[in-house]
Amino acid sequence: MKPSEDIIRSREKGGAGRGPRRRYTLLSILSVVLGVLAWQVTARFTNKLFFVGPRETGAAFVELLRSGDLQSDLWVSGLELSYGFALSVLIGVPLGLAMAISRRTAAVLDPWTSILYSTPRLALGPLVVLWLGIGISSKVLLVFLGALFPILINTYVGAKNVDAQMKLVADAFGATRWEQFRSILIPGALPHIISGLRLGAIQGILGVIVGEFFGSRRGVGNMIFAAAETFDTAKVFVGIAIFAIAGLVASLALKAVERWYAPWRQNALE
Amino acid sequence: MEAERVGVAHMTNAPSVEVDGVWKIYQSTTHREPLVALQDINVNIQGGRFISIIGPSGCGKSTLLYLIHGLIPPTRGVVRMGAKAVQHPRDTADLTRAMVFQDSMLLPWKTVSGNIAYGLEVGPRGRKTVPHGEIAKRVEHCLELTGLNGFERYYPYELSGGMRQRVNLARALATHPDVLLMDEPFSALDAQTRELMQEELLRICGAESRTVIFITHDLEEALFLSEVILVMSSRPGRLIEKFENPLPRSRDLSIKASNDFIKLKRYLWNLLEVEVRKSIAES
Repeated sequence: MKPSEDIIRSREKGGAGRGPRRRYTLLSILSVVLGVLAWQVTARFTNKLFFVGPRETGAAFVELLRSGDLQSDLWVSGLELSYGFALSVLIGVPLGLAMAISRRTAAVLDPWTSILYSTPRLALGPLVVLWLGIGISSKVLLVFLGALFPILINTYVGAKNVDAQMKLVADAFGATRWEQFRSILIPGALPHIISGLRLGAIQGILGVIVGEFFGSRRGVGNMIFAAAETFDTAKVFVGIAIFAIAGLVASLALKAVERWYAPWRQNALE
Repeated sequence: MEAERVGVAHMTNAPSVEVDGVWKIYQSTTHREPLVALQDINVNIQGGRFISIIGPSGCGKSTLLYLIHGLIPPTRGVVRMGAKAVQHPRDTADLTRAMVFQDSMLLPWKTVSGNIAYGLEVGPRGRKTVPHGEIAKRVEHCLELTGLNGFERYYPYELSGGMRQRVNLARALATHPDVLLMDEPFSALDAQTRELMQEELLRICGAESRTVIFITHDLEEALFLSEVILVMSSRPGRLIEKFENPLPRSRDLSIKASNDFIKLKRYLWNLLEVEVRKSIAES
């Protein structure tokens, strides 16, 4: 069976025959469709108070859109996520690079990243809300705390592990330290940084939920908790679906960016 | 014809390379005794010549090349290029030497063109002189010279080993080096590709006068390519022979089958055999 496998692989690489790849995509779509179907079937045999199917969820979604509640909740949660995430990128990437370049910086920051990274953000939720109140800023901080460490650590590890031979090439052509940083370290670490952003985005979404759970009047997370308290299960399902889709979209988008930027890594994985 | 060629050689601008009493000693962290990689190397390489350095593996020939390029400093002694002491490439205002590496060491995120241009975009030379239009022109020329036309936009991972080494060579040539340092560039290639690359290297280097220092452990390769062959001992690396290659300068691959060639190879092997046996016994 080995030879036929090789043929498939070489076809995929060459791009001449898209057949096999399309077949696998089809299989994935089929899997999702079956899953939704199973969801619908399960919903028929369970209490509507605790479990609703895709149809009811869809109806609730349309209803929420019509009233305009969902848009304002999405806007607030989106704002919290964007601010917090942007802040963690602006601080995490430079700090990670600084740690990779300077041993001293790494020695100072390493214990803190280890301690804070292993502290569950869930435990910080009440404290942050206590400090910053139930407005947007407490959520921004929780998103920031969640996304910062995956971004920082991935940047650090990525920049640290840039092939020493690449640095030798830069040296051999007389690159200055700044040129070496710009032409070797950054592009070499970029695939890792993108992975860090992907993990950070997912942690950031978690931060939104945690923050809104511990104290807020708006946002999609808040909508979920409020709806659960009044047994509006369809609304809960809408909220969960929104978070799931947000995580999926962020993850897929960043994976696509990674594939586009670093095709040689994909090749090495095969 | 021959006289004319010699005349050109005399007028060359390519600097001589002088290795003067160079030692390289590594202070080992695990062993008490320091490791002597190079022991009192003295050699004067005339400008514009093609030199090969051969020796058993681990004899320090790559170390010597890195020393000549200034990437690592000698423990004792000095390397001079055209009368000036060699410094780290980063500290060399007018960098007129370039390195072709053993593994191609191309930047995976750059295309073939991007990799060839790299040496022109960084470093003292790029900072001082080469304007953007000139970079594009040089890249074009080097693509042509090394037979890479049509591969401009390929990424290294899409290329064969032979193609990658062409890019490796083109990247060095694009900086217009007067001294070209080559560290076993064909050793990872299959036998047929290697032969063709050797022939192409002669063609490319024959067009312009420059000093070439070529590391190899392949006696045939050294004989085929070079005018002078330096033979090194097993560790600690010493120079045991400076061998003037009597073969005519214009050669093609068929010369490898000639009686003279085979005799010379035999001669070199006799010089080297003891050293190779020693280095095998050590490891």
